[in-house]
Amino acid sequence: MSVSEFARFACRRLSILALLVAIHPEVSRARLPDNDADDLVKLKKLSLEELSRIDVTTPSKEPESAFRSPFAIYVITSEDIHRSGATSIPEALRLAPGVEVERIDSNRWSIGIRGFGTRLTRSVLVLIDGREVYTTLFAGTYWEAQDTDMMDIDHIEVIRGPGGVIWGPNAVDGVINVITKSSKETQGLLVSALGGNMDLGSATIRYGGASGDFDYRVYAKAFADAHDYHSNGNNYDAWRSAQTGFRAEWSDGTRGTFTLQGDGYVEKAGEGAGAVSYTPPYSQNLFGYEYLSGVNILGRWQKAFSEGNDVQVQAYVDRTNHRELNLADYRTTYDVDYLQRIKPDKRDTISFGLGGRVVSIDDPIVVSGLTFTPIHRTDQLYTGFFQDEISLVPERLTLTVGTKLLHTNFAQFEPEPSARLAWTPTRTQTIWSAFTHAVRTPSDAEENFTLSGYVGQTPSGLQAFAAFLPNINFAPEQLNGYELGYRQLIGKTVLADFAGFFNHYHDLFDEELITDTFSESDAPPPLHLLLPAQFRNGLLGHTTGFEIAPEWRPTKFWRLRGSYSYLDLVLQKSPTSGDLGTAPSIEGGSPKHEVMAGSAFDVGGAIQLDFSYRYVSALGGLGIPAYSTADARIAWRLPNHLELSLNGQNLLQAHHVEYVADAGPNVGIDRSVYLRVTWTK
Amino acid sequence: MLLFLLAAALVCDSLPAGFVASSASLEYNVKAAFLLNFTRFVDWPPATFTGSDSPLTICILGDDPFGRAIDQIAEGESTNRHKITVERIRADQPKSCQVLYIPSGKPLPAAFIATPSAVLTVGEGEDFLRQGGIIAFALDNGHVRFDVNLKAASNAGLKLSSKLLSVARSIER
Repeated sequence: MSVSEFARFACRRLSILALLVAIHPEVSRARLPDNDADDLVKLKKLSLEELSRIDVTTPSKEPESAFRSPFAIYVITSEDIHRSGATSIPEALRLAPGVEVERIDSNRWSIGIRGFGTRLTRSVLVLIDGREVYTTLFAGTYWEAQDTDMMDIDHIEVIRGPGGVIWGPNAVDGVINVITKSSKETQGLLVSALGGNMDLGSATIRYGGASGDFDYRVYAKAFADAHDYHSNGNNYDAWRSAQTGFRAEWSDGTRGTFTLQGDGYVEKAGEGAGAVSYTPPYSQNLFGYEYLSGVNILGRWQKAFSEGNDVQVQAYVDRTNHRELNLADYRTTYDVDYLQRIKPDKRDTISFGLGGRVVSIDDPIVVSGLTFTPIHRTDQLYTGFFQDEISLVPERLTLTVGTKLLHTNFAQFEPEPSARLAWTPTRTQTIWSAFTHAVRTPSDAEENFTLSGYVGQTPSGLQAFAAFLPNINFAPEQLNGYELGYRQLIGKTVLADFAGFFNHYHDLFDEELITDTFSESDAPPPLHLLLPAQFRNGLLGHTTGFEIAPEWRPTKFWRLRGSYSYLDLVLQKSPTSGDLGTAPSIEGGSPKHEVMAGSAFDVGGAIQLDFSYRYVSALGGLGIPAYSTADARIAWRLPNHLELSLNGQNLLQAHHVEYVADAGPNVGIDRSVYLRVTWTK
Repeated sequence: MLLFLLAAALVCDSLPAGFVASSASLEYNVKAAFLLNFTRFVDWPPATFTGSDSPLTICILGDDPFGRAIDQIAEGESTNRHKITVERIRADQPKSCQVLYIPSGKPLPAAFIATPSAVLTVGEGEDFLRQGGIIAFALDNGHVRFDVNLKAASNAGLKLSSKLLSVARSIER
């Protein structure tokens, strides 16, 4: 549901009521102000709106928004991404505290926020420029299909914790918003190429032009990634991809701003997949390629009438073709959103919106043990929201209350209410707290899906299978989230950001045995035994944890960042649940401790040195040991608009395992070194 | 790694006193950044520029409140391939300007009210708009904001983008 475009401002400006219409996507995260020599350079990079928010009567030049936000928000800037050497969106997400990024193999990741990370992650909503890329097939995000020109990314906003009113449904444990630059900011020609032992080769070309009120850019990129480490030599996970896209904006004073953008991609990603059949060999691991392709186009109209009064209408069509070794999914999404903000008086800023989505889905059968019925389906989602940001004490105390109401073909009317309070007793301190109720709506996987798992041969010679049957009564997963946050600017060079949470969940997904076994007599031979099972709402539990993310700028050419994230995840079965083991795999599927430290150092204007280190504790429920590793980068700025960089990733060992493989032995993530050349004009 | 956090925490107590900008200079640093930013959201008539890469000039009339800040902010910048240059001018010696900043208390020279001047006039306070100026800075609760006179803009032959207008504190039509 893409309340998205609105949403991104919401979180960027610290309160949900931020400007509906973007000036341009310059970032204002809670960052340290720079020392003065740099200030003018920094000032001129700020947007009009950010300039408007600088308090010129105090020494702090911090654009206040993110600093005063009542969300646990972290903004990854384009410079952060560039200096990290990340060549994909998932790798860039490692920069944010409280996000568990586990690479499964060369082309797959498990990305969770505050627990519950899995291959797709049901509870984190992901958007790219207002287009939701979370899918209701198995509920989650196929990260291998989410790409763009990394240099066009303006910033990535990561919200830890529920984002129910503005985002959602499915923004239960977090929201990831990828925002690309406006076409005004990507004028001229850019050519970039890289090559190394793992990133075998990648090339990107982008051109931006303008004519009067009209700005545009076009880009194309392609890459080839090597397979990672396989102890048995079955090197299936090589990855190839090509993508192209455009963005255009028309803007004039009376008619507002109209944006049109789109992308198209094709890729093949090596995979291992389990396949089960009622005929021999019953169960096998298949290795081959996952084929992904897609096209999307999005239009958006924004207009501001006066301060605090604006409107936005957005529509998009997104086609994805997804064929794996054991399943296929072809879906076309049509989405329309309307948002308006009004400021009736000095105290209140009221936002409201409506959204509708229809998804046309085809899931033809690839292997007999994994089917969706009916094969052709139509999913629907309708949402409305209302929110008031109330300035209780001007510039000091702000209360934001609101609710979303949603209806889908999987769920009746579900409310998602929220209240957030932000108190800024001084200009260098923010204390915030929030209560949010959020839901994860049922997906095709729970309500339309039949899956067979091979159990083994019984003493009587029958082959036994667990058969997961569709559960049309699967209910939305529910969260009540309680958050507390504190930010403090210490002197001019240290920023400390703390966020703590207690999340209480119920009606969580589990896998349950439901009745006695039976043999399926009307199925084609051979006769087999079925253990009927279902995805049900049998678990409840809670997470408790916190993230602390200090940042220190000892000098204007040196920046140090760190973060520590702690998570305690406890689940239990409801009295009626016949859970087959979901709870321990979720509990032990997220790291309890994560530590990150990074240094960005400039040697004069021409050389950049970057280092980062991370530690991730064991995933006990999945048998993955703790690991620590480090990245490093050195970049030279050369004459004639050239930049050359040498990047090393996962340097501390030849390879290490981060997550369980879908099929076969776990895959070791290899040490990677690559050289990149970028030329801009 | 906890050591790192601990180290960061300890350092907090022993930080050197940072540079504290005087509020006057910060105000004008911010205004200088606004002036540069305005050039991104204004369309000048094509005839304004002699060539596709001729400079876009920000003129400051009379006493210059910016000091070197505006030169540093304009340095290396361009808008739609027009290099941004800064000139200090006197009312009796007009030059070719695309943006004209008139410091507080100075009247708007009549030449710039004539139509279409193709000059973005930026000044201080509400009176400036009444005189026919296009954009007026205002200090609002410690923040630099600006008001816009759309009629004056169209008289001057300039188009202001909606992005600019959406940030304006008020718009006169």
